[in-house]
Amino acid sequence: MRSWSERLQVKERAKLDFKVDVLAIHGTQLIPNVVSPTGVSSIFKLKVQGQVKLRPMLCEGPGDAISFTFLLGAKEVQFELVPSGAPEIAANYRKDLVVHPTRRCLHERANRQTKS
Amino acid sequence: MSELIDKLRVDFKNEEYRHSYAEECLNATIATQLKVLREQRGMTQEKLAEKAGMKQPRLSVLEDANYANWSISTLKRLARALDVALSVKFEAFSEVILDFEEMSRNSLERLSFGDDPVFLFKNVRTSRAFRRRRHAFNDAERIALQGKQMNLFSAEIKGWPAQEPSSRSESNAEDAAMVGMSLGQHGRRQDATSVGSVG
Repeated sequence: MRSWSERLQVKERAKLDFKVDVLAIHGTQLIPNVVSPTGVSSIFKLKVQGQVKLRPMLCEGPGDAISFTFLLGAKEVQFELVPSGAPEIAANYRKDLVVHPTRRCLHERANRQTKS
Repeated sequence: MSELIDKLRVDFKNEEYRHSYAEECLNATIATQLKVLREQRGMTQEKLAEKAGMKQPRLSVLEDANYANWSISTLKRLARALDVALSVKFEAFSEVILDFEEMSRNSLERLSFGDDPVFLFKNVRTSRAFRRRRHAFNDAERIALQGKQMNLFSAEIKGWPAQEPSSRSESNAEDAAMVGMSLGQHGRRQDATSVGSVG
């Protein structure tokens, strides 16, 4: 996620960081539509608007109900997800994560290795 | 010190970053407060949309934190439908971030004119000091509602700045109004969540 976000423009990165901070501070209950469904069970996407729309995929937990795990950095270009089939790829990562929970690491912001 | 401000301290030195971040914050706050105010009044999206002279799908979009194309004129229509004033202010970035960090359902709820004790009763305290105190009371009440510290709840009521009401009945009415107002605000601060990624 960090190397993916480091390639973003400053404006996009700021918007992405804000959405991550929303999740970290308020979860999904207070602010409407922070995460959106993807059509694949248990996989959600953060919507970051802009000319290139960022659609990082994530899941709740998977170990507990008050944390989230990013599974894939994706974006939407002309209504097409890049990489294509991103929700399915994310779902596979989630399955892998359930089997190997040590692969989960704390989120790091771009440029700075600040853990949230 | 705010954890969020510590996180943003370096990034906010970039002008593009801080303005983009603050704009997202504004969009999310507007959407959230619209939803909170509607729910505080027990209104459906259809009902509020009708009062504001718009269609329900339009209101649904305005209650989406990802939506950025709202206008002041639309917000003024919604303020009228909700019977609250619309306040637009320029703020320091730190204020925006701190407000966002402390945002809760409670902090976003606002009384309609018809429920506002300042206009309902004479001698209601309106000093800035009291208004600050009123927010502290709301926080105490929130804790009390969670069944943790009923004593704190009572102590805050007794601790209000004293002002002699013109009559006893008016005093009772005023206190009832204040308690009623606060009991109408059942916000819960969300527990902080953690965010990770697959490495």
